[in-house]
Order: sequence, then C-alpha cells, then structure tokens
Amino acid sequence: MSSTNNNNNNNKSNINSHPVGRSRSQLPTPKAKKYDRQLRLWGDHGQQAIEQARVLLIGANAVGTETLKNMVLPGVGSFTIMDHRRVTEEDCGSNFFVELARIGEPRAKVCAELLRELNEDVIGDFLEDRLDVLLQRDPGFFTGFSLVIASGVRHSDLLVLSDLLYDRDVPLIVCQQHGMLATCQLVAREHFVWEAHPDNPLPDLRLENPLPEFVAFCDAQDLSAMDSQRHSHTPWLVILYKFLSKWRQANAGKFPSNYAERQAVRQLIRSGERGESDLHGDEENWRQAQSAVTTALLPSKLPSNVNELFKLADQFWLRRQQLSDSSAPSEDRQAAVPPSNWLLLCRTLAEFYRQRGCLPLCGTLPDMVSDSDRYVALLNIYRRAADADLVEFSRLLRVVCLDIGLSADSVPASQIALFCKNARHLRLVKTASYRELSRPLPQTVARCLEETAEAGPSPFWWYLLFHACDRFHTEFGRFPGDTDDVNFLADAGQLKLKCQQLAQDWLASLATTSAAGPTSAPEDLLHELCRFGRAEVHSVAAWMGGVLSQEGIKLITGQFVPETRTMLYDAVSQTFLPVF
Amino acid sequence: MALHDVQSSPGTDNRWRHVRRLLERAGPLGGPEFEPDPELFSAIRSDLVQILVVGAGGLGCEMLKDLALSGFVNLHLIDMDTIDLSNLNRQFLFRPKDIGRPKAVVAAEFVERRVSGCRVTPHFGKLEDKPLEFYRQFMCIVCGLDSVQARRRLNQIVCSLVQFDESDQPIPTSVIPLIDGGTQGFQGHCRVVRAHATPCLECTADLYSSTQQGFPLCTLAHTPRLPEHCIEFARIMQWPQEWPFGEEVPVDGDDPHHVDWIRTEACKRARQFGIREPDFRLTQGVVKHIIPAVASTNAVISAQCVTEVFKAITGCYPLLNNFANFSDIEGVAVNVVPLERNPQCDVCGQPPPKPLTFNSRDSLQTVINQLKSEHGMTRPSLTACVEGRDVTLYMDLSFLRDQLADNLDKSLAELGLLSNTVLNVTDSAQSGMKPVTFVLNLEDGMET
Repeated sequence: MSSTNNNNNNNKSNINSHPVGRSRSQLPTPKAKKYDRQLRLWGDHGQQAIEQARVLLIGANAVGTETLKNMVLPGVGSFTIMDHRRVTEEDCGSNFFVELARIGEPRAKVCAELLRELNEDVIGDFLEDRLDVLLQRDPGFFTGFSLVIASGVRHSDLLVLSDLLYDRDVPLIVCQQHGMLATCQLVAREHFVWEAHPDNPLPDLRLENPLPEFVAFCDAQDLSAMDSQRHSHTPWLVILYKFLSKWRQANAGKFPSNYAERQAVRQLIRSGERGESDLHGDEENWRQAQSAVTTALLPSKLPSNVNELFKLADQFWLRRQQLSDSSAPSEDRQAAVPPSNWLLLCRTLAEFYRQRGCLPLCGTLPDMVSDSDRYVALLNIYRRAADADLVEFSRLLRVVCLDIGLSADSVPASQIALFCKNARHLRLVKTASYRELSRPLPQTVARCLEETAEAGPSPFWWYLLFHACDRFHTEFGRFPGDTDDVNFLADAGQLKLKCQQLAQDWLASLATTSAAGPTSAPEDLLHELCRFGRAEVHSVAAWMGGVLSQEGIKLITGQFVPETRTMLYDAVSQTFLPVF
Repeated sequence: MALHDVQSSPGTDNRWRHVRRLLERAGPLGGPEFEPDPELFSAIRSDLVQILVVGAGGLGCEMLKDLALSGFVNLHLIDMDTIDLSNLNRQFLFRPKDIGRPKAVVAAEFVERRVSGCRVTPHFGKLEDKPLEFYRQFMCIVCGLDSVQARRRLNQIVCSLVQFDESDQPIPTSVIPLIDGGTQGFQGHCRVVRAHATPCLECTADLYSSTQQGFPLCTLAHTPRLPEHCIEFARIMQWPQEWPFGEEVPVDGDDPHHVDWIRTEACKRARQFGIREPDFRLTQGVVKHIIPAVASTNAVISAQCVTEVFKAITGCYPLLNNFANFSDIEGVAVNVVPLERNPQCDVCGQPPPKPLTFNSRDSLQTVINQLKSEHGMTRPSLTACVEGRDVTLYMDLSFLRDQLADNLDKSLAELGLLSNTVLNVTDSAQSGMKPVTFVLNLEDGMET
C-alpha cells in the first residue's frame, strides 16, 4: 500500500486539532476486526479495560455460565469459575456449557473448559472449593478480582461474601432464578461513571454566556444581505443566536427562562424566515433553528449528578482537613487513603465551576444544515474553546494535586480529557451493602405490603418469596417443589410459613405492624413457586445472563450507567421491574 | 404413564426436569387454556413440532441454543451468509477455523453436537429460495435478522400462509406465530405476530424505517460537514468515476483495500474542507452500514423471543402482547407496548388477498388481462413489494403509461416477481377505490 500519498497538502487540515498526514494505509489488525462491532460502542479504551478485567463467577448454573459467556465473547481478560458441584443430568437440560458425556465431572472444570473455547484471547480457570469453606480459609482470594458474580448462592454465604467485597470495593452482582422468574442486584460501594453515553444529549453550546469568538463570528453574518443560497445554508446556531440576541435586547438582557419565553424566540425566528413570496420558502435551516429552541435555550444549571460529585469531593477534603488539623494519630483509615483519580478530578471540576460558572465544554456540535465553511468554522470555535478549557482544567488539577502533596501529573492526560469531555454526564453510582439491601427497611416493607395488598403478582412479593425459598432450603435442604412427588404443592404450606416469618422479621422494628398489609403471600405465587421447584428454565436464565453481563461490562469499563435497584425479571409478563 | 421412560432414552428423565415442571404441573399464572399433561413434553419433541429459525447471526445462534435447551428437537435454520472474523465477538457457535463456512451449517453442527438428541436442519440460502410450502410445515417461526427487507419478506410469507374460511375469517390453525427479534447496540425488541390477530410487521413498517437512511446527495456534493459525508462522496461519486480496482468492480465493504481507498479519498476531501479525517473504522462503518452489536443484547432479545416461542407452542403462559422494547444504556429498561393493527395494511389488511395463479414466464399483460376479465377491473394499476422495495409495475395513467409500457411484455420472472408476492391493485377507472390485494402463486415455483 502506498504510504506517501498526499502529505504535501496538509497545512489546511491544521484547522482541525487532529493528527494530520495519517492518510497512509491503516488496515485493521485481526483483533480490531474480531471486536469491530463492539469497539464501535465502547471504543478501544473500553476494550482495554475489559481485557484487563478479572471476573469471578460463583455458581456455574445456567444464569452464571450465560453471564460469563457474554463476557468471554467480548474478550474479558480472565475468568475464574468457583463451583463445588458435579455435572448432573439436569445441568445438561439447562446449561449450554456442560455435556451429557461429562456427567459426574466437576462442574466448574467442565464449564471453564467449554467457555474458554469461545475466545482464545481469554484465560479461564476454575476452583472446586465450597464457598463457605474458602471464605473462611482464604478471604483474600476474593478481593483480587475486578468483579464477582454470584449466581444461586445461598443468602447466608452471600452476607459473608458481600461484606468482604464491599469493604474492599470489589463490585458484586447477585442473582437468583426460580423458573420463569429471576432477581438481580448490583452491590457496589462506589462506581464512577466516566462516560454515560446518554441517548440524546443536549447540545453543549453556552448560549447563555456565548463564547466571544462565537459572538464575533455571528456578528459578521449579515442575514439580510445574503443571497438565497447563503441564507438557506446559514447554520441554525447562527440564526438562533441572532434572534436570541434580539429577544434579549428587548428583555433587559435576560436569557429565556421558561417555555413561553423560548416560544417567543421561536416566533421571532419564524418572522425572519424568507417566505414563499421570496420563492425560497423551503428553508430547512430555519426550521431547525425553530425546533432547536427547545434544546439549545434551556437555562444552564449544574446537573444534579455533578453537584453530587462536588459534595463528595468537599466532604473528602473537609475530612482530610480536619484530620490534619487535629494532628491526632490517624485512626480513620480514610485519612491514609489518597483520593482516587476521579475524586481529584471532581475536586478540580468544582474549582473550575466556581471560577467559571460553567463546566468544561465538550467541543462537539450536532450536525446541521449549513455550507461547509461556516459549519467547520463554528465547530472549530467550539473545539478551540474546549481545548482551552482542558488546558485550564489541567492547570487547576496540578494545583489540586500539589496542594495535597501528590505529584502534578498524578492523573494521566487521556483520563483528564475523557473527564472534561463528559463533564455534564459524570456520576457516582453507589449501593448499600448486600446485608442492608437484602433486608429492606421496615417502612419500605410496610409500604410494599400495603401497596400490593390487592394486586396479584408484584415484584416485591416475588422477592420476599425468593428469600422465603432460601429459608425453606436452609431448613429442608431442598427448594419448595423440587421433588418428584406429584403432590408438589405439599411444600406450599411450609413456604407460606417461612414467608410470614420473614415478613414479620423485616417488619420487626416497626412499632405499628398493624399498619402494614397482609404478611401472607398470595396463594397464586406460592403455588407457582412450588410449580417451578427451582427450575432453571434456560431462556429465562439466558435473558438474565445477557443483562448481567452488560451490567458487568458497565462496571468494568466505567461506561454507561448501571442499574442499581434490586430488579425482578418476570418472563411470564416480560417485565423487568424494581422490587421496592 | 410413560413419564419415567428412563431406559429407552437415557438422559431425558432428569435432564429435562426444568422444562417439564412447566408442562406437567398446573399453575395459576398459566395461560387460560393450559392443561398440564405429562405427554406434552413428548409432544413437543415429536415430528409435529418443527420450528424455523431465520438468521444464524448474533440472534440466530442464541435462539438455536435457547430452543435446544427448551427441549425442542426439530429445528430448522436458514441463513445465506458465511462466517466472518467480525462475527466471533457474539456468534458463539463459530470458531476461527469456521471462517468462510456457511453459518447455518456450522451452527447446526455445533448445537447437534452439544445438545444431544436435538436435530437441526440447516438451509444455506435465501428466504425466497424456498417454496411457500416449505414454511407451512412449521409450528412457529422465530426470526433474528438485521435487514428490514428480509423481515418484510418473511412477514409477507407468513401472512400469505393464512387461509380463510367461507366468511373470510382466518382459519386459526393456518396462522403460524412469527416471533421477531432485532438489536442495535444496547437496544433491541421482541415482538409476537399472529397474523390477523396482532399487527404484522408491515402494519408498523415505520418502526424500522428510520435507521437506514442515507445523506442527501447535494450535501455530499456541495456542503460536506462531517467525515461521513466525505466517505459517502468517495463511495458514491468518486468510485464509479475512477473504478480504482478495475472497470465495473463494485465496492466491497469487506475488502480492506477497497475501504482504504475510500478512506484515503475521503481524507483528501476532508482536508480540502477542513473536516476531521475519517479513520478506517468509521469508513468501513459508513460503507457497510454497520450496526454495532454485542453479545449481551443479542442474548437478551433471543432469550425473550424463545420464551415466547415456548409459550406459543405449549400454551403454558399467555403470549407477550405484543411488543417489548429493551435498552440497557442507562439502567435497564423493558417496555411492553401493545401495538395496533393497521386496517389498511398492504399485507394483512382486510380483505384477505386473493390468489392469482400464473407461470413465471407469463407476461405482466397476461396478469392484467385476467384482472380485467375475471376480477372486474377496467384500468388496473399494479404495485408490488419486490426485494423489500415497493415497485410500481404498471399504472394506467396517461402520463405514466409510456414509461411503464415496457413492463407489459416482460415476464413475471424478469420483473422479479416470485411466488407469494403480494400485488396491490387499484382500478384507475374507479376513483377512491381501496387497493385490492392479490397474492401471486407461480406454478413453476421459484426457478426464476
């Protein structure tokens, strides 16, 4: 391939802040080709994070292996399967990663082997230990992973496991399946979302306090003097700005603050459009300008997700300050912990916002009807401003770092750029510990009981029953209905009892228990759970495996926003709803 | 009771306990007409229950696995593609050694090997390669396609299999449930079509249309603003002027040298206009209209579809009514929406299409003559959906007559009309008349 073509004409492309002279051939590597369809979603840096992740699966049942499958395929660095069971006939009717010929072999081993076949880039390992035993013997083992998935693990073990992981900041995903139903719960003390990838982000244009360069550009555009070609190819951003300025002049300089005022700007724009009498009535750019009123003229305010981050950074620095002032021997372990990169960046962001009254620009423009030169000129104005913001932000960050005795280049430049580009969409995702989550507050329980007193199947009742099943299992060593007895409903009575006890326990500290609704589960649900007998219906497991793997990828990459609520998948109604 | 038939079929006793619980035990949440029966499981494994999976890509691989582990043993799989390296990040039945082989064949082999007892019949080819009768054998059709055109074609096939009684009511046993899955990145849908009871895919065709749009040519030629515009300019305008890989050699989006030529040209143009230069990935994405895809979304949508297949065949739970949307970009959201039928739908709108029987060598004029002589038309105008596009075959209007006159002498084969094609006919002599639909039945089958 020719690699020398056309490097002579590069001076023009310096308008862009992008590398030039890269027109030599750049055929993709086999790896880039293999992962092409997903790299378009999370980028090379997302892929890199995935390839560095170490995932532990506890419980190689159908949900567990399906989840892992969807992480092995996109190339997770390594996985370990922990399972003490042996492959059974039943597994062969629900789990794709076992075979009839291997009945009796360790399930962890067989699943690890068959999963490894999916992707030669992935390292796979297994352990035959019992969870409770290993938790006792080698707790450190569990904290060496970037993510732990626990499928079908009993409640008592989950409490120990999750306390351990929560304390060490290792995210955990918990799931349980009974027949056509499955629950899942993410447990993460702190998870920072670097790139939320919102579906329809609002344009970041700063029209409230427009960029000086942008103002100069717009001022140089004389709409009335334009020929029809130029007029109908003026970017809507320029049109909007001009009529916004007109409106502001007539309204003591204020920025539109409500729907009616934005509509007034829209009316102004409409009046400026060249009508049919001009023979050029069809001006798409003018229509775009009118509809942009609803998105581009929203008053800029600090997004609540970012405000949360400012508070967190404040709290951290305050605590730090207090500790250094008191000069007492530090017992608070927090003090010894240096701030993570995202905390340093959030602290800097707060400072940037305090000084500038705005967040760093992201430096992108939506596409719009325009001739090339003016669109490119506008885009470059915004890009340059974003670059300048980044420079300023980096300067502030150095100050923040030096101020607490960290080196000035503690945060890699690529991370700073990513942070600034996504500033409006950053957020911290937190959940309570599994111990708290799995024991809802009495008030919550009372509310749910009341709300669902009349209704049939509700996510809350299913969730309560799932926990009742766990108690049933603890007492009888099997799940309700998991019997060859034709009279499978014989277990319903005991399950009902467990359910009542559990509801009472959850309500225990609530003085006015009577305020709550009935504490006995609807008969239909008890019956249905006994019907399932803990069946691992494969298509239901596969659904959950799909969802959980993506949640795992969110946690590993810091991209997209994880679901933090306890959720119930009901394959009967095809709904996925929060339990509380 | 042959419930514990252990000796005759090893591994079926406990192996399928999960699924059998749903079929052999009554439950209050079951479908309205569901009667548990120990024989039901043997029934779904009998020759009576044949299921067709359309597409052996990201969705199809998952669907095949999910069906096999739902206990179904008579599966058919149809796909016209061969395996590419870029499939391996989600099409988990394929390995690097399979690259270049037909997807349907490899997927079938794999599932038969892994899930013993399951039979998968592969069909390496296009939907229209099969006669209408081929589709009639299935109790349910589940579809995981990425093309709107192929979806519309399949929908037309399924709808045309519906038979009607004397009072023009669809005969329920002739309605084959069609379960359709689709994904795009982290979003997807699952829908259940029971022709004439729920909307068919054509009723809501606008749901699919917006995703596959190009750029206006005048933008590409005169006012490019994005790297994408430069890529499309190089592909559409420059390529056929320069034929860089030989006269009349079309762009092959899978040939990296082709893509790189377009990228190089697009970069030159981008520099000229001060636009950011496209890289290889972006170029190939635009050239091939690549839809991003991940394993997780495919797993979710396929699983949902197969759960609905299981419900449709066994009746153990009520079917999804009738469309579920999925997205897991921000949190995880599933929305169930009951879509509504379009009474004017070209494919399933009333009245049911009347069959027109011809030979593929017959001319369009012959068809028009018959419409006149046997269906009371005076000046019939015909449109049809050919390869997923609406095509005007003939229009009896003075200003169009000359343009379309050539079509009259062409054979049905030449016009691309296949068996099961739905013809929409209006009579220009009767203004305001609703189109009448006919379904083409070609006696010499598909040998076009």
